[in-house]
Amino acid sequence: MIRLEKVTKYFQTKTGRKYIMKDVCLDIPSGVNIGILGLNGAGKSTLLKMVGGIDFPNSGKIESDMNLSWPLSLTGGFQGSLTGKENAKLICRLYSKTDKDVKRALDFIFEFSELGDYFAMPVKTYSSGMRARLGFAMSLAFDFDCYLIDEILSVGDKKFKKKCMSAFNDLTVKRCIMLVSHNTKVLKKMCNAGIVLENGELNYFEDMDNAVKYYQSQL
Amino acid sequence: METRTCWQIQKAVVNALFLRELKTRFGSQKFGYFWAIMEPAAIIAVFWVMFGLSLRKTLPGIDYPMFLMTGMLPWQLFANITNRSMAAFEANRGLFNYRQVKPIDPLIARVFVEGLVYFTVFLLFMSLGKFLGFDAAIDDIFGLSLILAQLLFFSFSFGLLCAVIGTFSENYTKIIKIMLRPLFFSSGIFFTVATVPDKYKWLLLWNPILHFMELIRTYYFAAFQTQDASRIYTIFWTVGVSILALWLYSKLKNKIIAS
Repeated sequence: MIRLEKVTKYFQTKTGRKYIMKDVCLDIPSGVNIGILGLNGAGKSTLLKMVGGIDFPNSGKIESDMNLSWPLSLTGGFQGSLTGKENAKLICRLYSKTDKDVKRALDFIFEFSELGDYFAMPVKTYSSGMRARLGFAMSLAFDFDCYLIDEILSVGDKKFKKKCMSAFNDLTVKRCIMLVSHNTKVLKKMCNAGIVLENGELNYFEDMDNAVKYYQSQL
Repeated sequence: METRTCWQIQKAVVNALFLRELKTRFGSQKFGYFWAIMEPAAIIAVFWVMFGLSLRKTLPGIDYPMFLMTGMLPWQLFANITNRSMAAFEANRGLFNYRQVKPIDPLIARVFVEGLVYFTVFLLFMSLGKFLGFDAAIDDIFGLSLILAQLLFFSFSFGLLCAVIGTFSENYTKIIKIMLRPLFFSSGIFFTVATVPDKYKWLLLWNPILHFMELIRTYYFAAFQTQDASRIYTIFWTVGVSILALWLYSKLKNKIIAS
């Protein structure tokens, strides 16, 4: 369960406060796959980051009893000057207890990402698709209750997308995801509930189809 | 996944960062270890040639290269930590994507790395000094360890302060960088306070690093006893800077993560 308690979040701009959420209260039950929709700048990524504990509301609280992944996005999470392997190793050490666990996770990441020789190259030389592969493989190496995913499925080639989808379909049987995307087809396929963000309001729909309908009526 | 306590998590984080830091500092450039030794060695050699002969008489019972070494290495420890801390938050921004990594963790890891490096270099230089026939004996090893540990903690706190303020003000970073230069010449790396004319003493003695240097040498050399430096003064600075740094850090921590 993820609980938002009177959450207010704004960004200070030159013309005043730009609200993303105003006094939002919401309980999201465990085991529900949630799609997040909204126009650019509506606060989708910020919501995901706040749930993931790397951004903070201006007031209110966000709580969860689940073991959440880090927000998987195309921008954050890597040190460009280090190789894919070094990046992965560091994160494995953060999440593992023993050296054996580190080794096992590292092997899995190498296998799943299919980066081959590029695994030993600095991440700054990677394309966005390759970064997505690495990030995705890294998160799947650990058992999270809920995966927070920001647009990462939209890059990458068909083969990789297919692989991700099937990995997620396996996952979503026992775990859940929170997915930010502009691709309504993917959202309908993966998620059963939806959130639409607009003008500081958070609209929750228990049915993803209704969320998509609402979102499309706004366009 | 099993749950871990805060301490277990922070330990795992600092440990992971420590291992990475060791690797990036010394692994990527193959001459990393070589430069950690050569940099202070070169400076010591230059100043030995420049001042060594004239100062021989003013420091009875102390070999000048050893005197330089006891100033140069602590200075480099302090200056390195300060310099590297200033860009630390920016450099580790990618890591803040993982909620268990707090901005202070890379700084803690770095202090451990620097401490380890300079401890090794210190032992190496002592052995080298002994090998070259200088008097390298430590007078009070317990006192010396304590004051060096205090300097390490002071450097960490000062580095944290620089890192926090530096994130929000580029001007501050520039000022610190400019200040490090005169500080290099006024921190007693090449001289003792006793050789400074009385009318300038009070000015130099504002500098806490100078006090650290004098105290380090008091503990190191049996033949040297500081007349002007005060342990209380160094403790005052260490406590003051660390409280200020930690207070500012705790206030601005979330902003640093989210920015």
